[in-house]
Amino acid sequence: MKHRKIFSIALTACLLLLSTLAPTTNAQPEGRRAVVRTGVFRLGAGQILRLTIDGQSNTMMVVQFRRTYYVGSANGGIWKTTNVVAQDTSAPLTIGPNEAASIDAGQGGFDAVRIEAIIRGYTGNTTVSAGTLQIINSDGSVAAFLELPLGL
Amino acid sequence: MKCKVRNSIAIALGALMAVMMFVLTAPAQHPKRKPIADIGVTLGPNQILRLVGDWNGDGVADIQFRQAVYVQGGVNNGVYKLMLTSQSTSQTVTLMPGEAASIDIPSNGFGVRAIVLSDKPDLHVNAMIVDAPTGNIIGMLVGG
Repeated sequence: MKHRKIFSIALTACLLLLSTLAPTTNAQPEGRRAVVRTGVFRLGAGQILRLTIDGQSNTMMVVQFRRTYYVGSANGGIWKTTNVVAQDTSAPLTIGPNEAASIDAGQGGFDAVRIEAIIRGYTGNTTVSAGTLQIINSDGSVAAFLELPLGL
Repeated sequence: MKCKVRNSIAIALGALMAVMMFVLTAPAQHPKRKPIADIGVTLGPNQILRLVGDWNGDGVADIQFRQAVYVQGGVNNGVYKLMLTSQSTSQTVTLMPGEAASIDIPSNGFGVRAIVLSDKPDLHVNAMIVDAPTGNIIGMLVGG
């Protein structure tokens, strides 16, 4: 009886160990995945952050955007976020080679904002930079822009 | 004899599990803070260099900002030598995942330079030039 108990414990321990080592598998769409992050921006009054993802050659891909809004405070000359106040994630959007998707994020009373684009299902062979980040003034003019690598 | 073998297996498995748990949970060595971004610009009147670092990895990240101010020295065939007039390093700020910290460096000389120090080389850093009277961003650089 005692030996059976010991054997059961050993078996349980073995299964537990195997479960920690087993790779976790999640159902993912076919193709490569990339996340494009703008980083955190503290915008001027009325300015918006715009992230655009362009479609890639000869393939479809699925794009989803996530916006994060922060509040923060300054101490000793360093401003630091104190809270993530709000976060929203768009519905997945499929874009073709000649299509694009973009999202705007204004601060809207918060102190800072950040956008992430989650790209899934890219099966193309080309590696290109096809994300554009812009800061738009309240009158619609472009204050600054640059190209972001997609990392695909 | 059979019981001894089972006991031995149990002990061996227990020991193996203890070792694995130790390996999986052993705290990593705390790396030193190193420069992860270094940006120098000349600013116009009422312009600010703003750096923002945000952390989205595992665990916590330390961040520190170092700033240096330069004035123009002698000129030789159109090339100015810039001389350091002041330099300071901020307190260390600890960021949890999802947090950010930033510093505004005003235009107090010909040029300013900002260095971001962190123990996490993959901490994301953005740099931007801000028009001080309006607070509007007029230029930016996005780090990795």
